[in-house]
Amino acid sequence: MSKELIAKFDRIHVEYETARDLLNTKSMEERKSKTHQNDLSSGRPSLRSDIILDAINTLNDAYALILIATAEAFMREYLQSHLSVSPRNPNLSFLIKQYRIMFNKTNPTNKITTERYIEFNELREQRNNYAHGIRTKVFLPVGKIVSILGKFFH
Amino acid sequence: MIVIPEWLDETSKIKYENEKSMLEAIELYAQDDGWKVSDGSDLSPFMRQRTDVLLEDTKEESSLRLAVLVKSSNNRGMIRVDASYLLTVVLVYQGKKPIWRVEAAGIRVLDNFMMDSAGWKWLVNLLFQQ
Repeated sequence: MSKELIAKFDRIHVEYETARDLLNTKSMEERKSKTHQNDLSSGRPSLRSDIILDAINTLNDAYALILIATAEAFMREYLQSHLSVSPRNPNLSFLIKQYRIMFNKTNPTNKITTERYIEFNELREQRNNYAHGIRTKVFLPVGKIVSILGKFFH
Repeated sequence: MIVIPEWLDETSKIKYENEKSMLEAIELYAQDDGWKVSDGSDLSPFMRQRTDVLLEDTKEESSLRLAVLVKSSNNRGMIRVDASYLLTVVLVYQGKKPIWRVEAAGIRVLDNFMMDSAGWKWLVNLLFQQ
């Protein structure tokens, strides 16, 4: 089952990279086409290229959220089928903790280590921070998130 | 001028001392190299909330945005570095050994990153090589 999940992460990653590359190409085109104009005026990038840069950042955020939500849905389903009693709306912190406990109880050769557990919890904190934090709102790059989730669900 | 984001001192249990030291070192070497250091308050609100420290090379019209990632353990730490030429790397603090690793897209680029004059030049070259 987790093989399917990891394949899903990989598919999301490819989709993200494709969209990012398209935006990167567009951004480069904008830079080239506006270079002369910028030299003549303020030297600052055009509004349009600012919007493309914002879009590249939003893309990372959006796919980070999709990856975390995909993992969350997987763990919720896993725990519903393995726990006799589970909360109606378990939060992500509960899901990560219980999933690790339940998975490691099956005596796998590849137990979920504390390091992997901490890494996933940091993604959770980034997600929570994004929604209501007072700190800088930033996610890890999508490639790194795929790597963290891939190791957790390996 | 050294910029250290206030939020790094607003958590009681989690300490960001390693990140603060690294930010300070990056900013010092950037300034020595002629870069301007700020908190990014001139950026758009959208970019501002993704930036803790902004480094600008006005001669080359290049910039680096630094952002400290939230964490849950004192012996870890990550700083995201976004270059204006759209490359991104993450500096990852290795708790067991007090060293930093450089990663791009989750892949190790350098295991023992030292922020000194050579380290700064290496980082800039990595992020702005075209």
